[in-house]
Amino acid sequence: MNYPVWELEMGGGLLIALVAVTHVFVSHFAVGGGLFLAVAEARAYRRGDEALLAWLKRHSKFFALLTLVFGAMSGVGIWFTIGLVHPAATSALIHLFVWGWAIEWVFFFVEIASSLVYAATWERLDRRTHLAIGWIYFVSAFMSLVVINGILTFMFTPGHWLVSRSFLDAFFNPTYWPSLVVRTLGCVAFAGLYVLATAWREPPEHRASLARYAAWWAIPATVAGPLAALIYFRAAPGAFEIGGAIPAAAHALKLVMVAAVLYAVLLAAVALLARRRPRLVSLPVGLALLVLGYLSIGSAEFIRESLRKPFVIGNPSGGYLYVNGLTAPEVEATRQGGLLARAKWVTPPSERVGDDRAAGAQIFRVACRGCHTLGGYRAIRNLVEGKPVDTIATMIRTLEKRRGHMPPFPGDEGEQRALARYLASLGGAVEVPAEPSTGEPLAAGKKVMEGFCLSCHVLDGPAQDNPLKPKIKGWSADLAYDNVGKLSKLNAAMIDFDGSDADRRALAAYLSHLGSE
Amino acid sequence: MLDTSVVASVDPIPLPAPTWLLTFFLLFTFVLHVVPMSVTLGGGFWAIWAAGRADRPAYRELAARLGRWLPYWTAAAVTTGVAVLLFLQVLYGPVFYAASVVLAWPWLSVIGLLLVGYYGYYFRAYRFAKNPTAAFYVGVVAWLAFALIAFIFVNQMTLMLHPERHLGLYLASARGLHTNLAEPTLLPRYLHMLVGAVAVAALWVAGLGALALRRGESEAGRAVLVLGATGFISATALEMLLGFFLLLAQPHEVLSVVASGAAGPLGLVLALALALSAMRILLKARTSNSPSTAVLVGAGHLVVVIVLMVLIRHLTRQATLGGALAISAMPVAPQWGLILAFVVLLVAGLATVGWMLRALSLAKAARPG
Repeated sequence: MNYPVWELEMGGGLLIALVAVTHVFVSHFAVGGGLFLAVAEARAYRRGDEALLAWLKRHSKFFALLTLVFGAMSGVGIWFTIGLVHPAATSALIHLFVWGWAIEWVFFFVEIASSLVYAATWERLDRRTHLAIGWIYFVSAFMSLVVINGILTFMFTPGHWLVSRSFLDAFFNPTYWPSLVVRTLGCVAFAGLYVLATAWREPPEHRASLARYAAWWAIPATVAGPLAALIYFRAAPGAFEIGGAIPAAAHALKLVMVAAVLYAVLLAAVALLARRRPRLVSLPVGLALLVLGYLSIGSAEFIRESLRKPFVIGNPSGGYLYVNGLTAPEVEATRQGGLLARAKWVTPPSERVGDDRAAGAQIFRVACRGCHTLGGYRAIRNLVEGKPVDTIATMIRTLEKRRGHMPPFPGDEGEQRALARYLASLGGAVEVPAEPSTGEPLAAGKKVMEGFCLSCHVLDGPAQDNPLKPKIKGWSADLAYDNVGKLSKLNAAMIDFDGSDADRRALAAYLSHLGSE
Repeated sequence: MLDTSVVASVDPIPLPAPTWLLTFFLLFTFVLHVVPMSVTLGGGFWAIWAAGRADRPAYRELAARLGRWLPYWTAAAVTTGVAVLLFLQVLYGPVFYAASVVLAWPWLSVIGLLLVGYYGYYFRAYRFAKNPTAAFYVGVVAWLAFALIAFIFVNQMTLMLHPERHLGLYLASARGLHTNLAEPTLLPRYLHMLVGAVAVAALWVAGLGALALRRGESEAGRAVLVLGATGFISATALEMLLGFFLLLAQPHEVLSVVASGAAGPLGLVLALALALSAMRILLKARTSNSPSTAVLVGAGHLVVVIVLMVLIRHLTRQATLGGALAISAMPVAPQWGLILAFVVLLVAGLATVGWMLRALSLAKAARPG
């Protein structure tokens, strides 16, 4: 409402996910890999292991090229992307955390400088100084994570900040420490993963020792990771309702489990068999490990993102900013006074032409486009296709009560109708003109049923489509009247009927008629 | 186009520092950014120029040396640029985000172009000796990527100053494929920045020539010094001309606001005088037997000119925005403890980097030969 909404048919959420997951995959390596380099360099000096030292020199160059360039650029890319997709949220975060980011920038600056010096000075500096620079790199990279973790977790669990507006409450929010533990373990695991994934480039005689050493890093952290994730989820409200907000999150959970198990098995196999069969440490195995690692972290990040709904800053138990960029008081105001009257990035009233479907299109852009596309990612067309206007209007009116953790519709009654008409026009359904009343109670009941019940149910069909007919089989009119009055008691997922008593009676009569067919 | 000025409301979360402090950090970090950004962009130009004349050993060596350092300058440009964007967004968010959504795809493409330019410079640095032809062409592509980034930035930074255009462009298409080509100051501003970068980097070339002379490479050192000094003088002269056109392209109201105070005209005259003085110093340095001091003094002049130009740019920005965004009226709730922590950590961070550079310098001095 305050900022223009970018019309991106691939979906802003998907774009953020692609950029962010890729960055996370590299940035965690940037932290853990720094620790690995410093510890492994000290080990090589202690043991006089020249082969390890020679490999570390090569690895540090790869490390710098990947983390300095791709890691840093993709990090900036997240910032660019969220500024385009969620400008209101980015503005809020920057106002609250500008000094947090400034402090993180100092660590980033030291991290970049020390990484460049470290990779380029193996031959130029004495061992003690070079190792010290390795540790400077790791400490600054880790501190960068320590700061960013506060901002990331705030977006999910703003906690007491919602009341106190204190920076410290925002930063040290309920999931700060569990998340830091999970991410630190991820960093250590990825340090080993990247070594395993690139060790095939070494001569076969060195691969086994390298792979076993890397496995010592990857396996314990990989095993401890799920336990830490459990602690994290316990600190996160609504975490056990995975899939409640976005059904795809339930699939992501399955994916993360399968990928993590396959990943752990492959890691263990490489670690155990590398000595006897060094050629197992190969490019395909390296790629498989990288892909499985990417899928694991990508799915986990997707799940975490989905748990924030209906907020972009917050979670189902409370939040500051809805996914459509509106605060709760703003939604109250737009429900009273209308969305288009307050939205800045719409056609001015003096220049509006066309029927209320044109207004509906503008409402869709302001209220829904932040998450939904027309036919791409989270396509709205799939959700409304074939549904009558009344049904869609009910869906809009009851958004926040439905599955999917949607924010309340931020408009008045006329705008609900305008949006419903626009959405119905997308799926090819046309509004049927209101039939003149015939006094026939069944016709009135049918209209109420279509407007209310079919916003969730289909009339008949397979069980996965949630058909209405089997559920009401054998209902009498009295039973139907009684049940319609206590829908949420019959099933907590159902929305209570909010029509008039006459509508309820008409609906009951029609349901009874349907149930006897 | 709609004649409606739409500006997003100021964020209800207060600014975490007084506006003067945030403005100071915005301008300070921008000065820090302009130097490596200019060397990254202008240095790429000189590296291509020298590689194109690599039949002459002095220029071949120059192309190799410039290429080796370009990735480091790029790292510095990106690192300092992040800080500028941070302070810019906190102060100018309502117009910055709106303009970036209008230009969404070009703006987002900056990230891809950065990857092309950055990796391109690394490729050039690593492959120059083994495969100079590939290194040359990749260097050209990388430079073009950086030049395009600069063009996109000029589009974004000028569009954000004109909120009266945002709604019209957005309603014409919300898909984020616009540019700001209709802006009268766009071309002179872009060329001013581009040629300025070539001038700054030319001073780096002159510095490399002076260092070569100190190492006793008299012929090669002199050739590089003359190239750098001549490049600096020519680019600075052209820069002055473009600056004049940039001034002329400004709307009358903006010019009159900038000219009404003492700071604008005084800063401009001082910058002109310093630039002319730097040109004179570099002209003399071409034939000097110990040009290092002259190049350093010229660089000192240039740093002051950059500071002055950044201040004038800020005045122009304020004048162009006019009353559309009242930064001074934004709510403020300073986080003094964090500000102190930032300053302490900044000093500690700079000291750490200083220690690393000192260790490098000592190691270099201790190396035999």
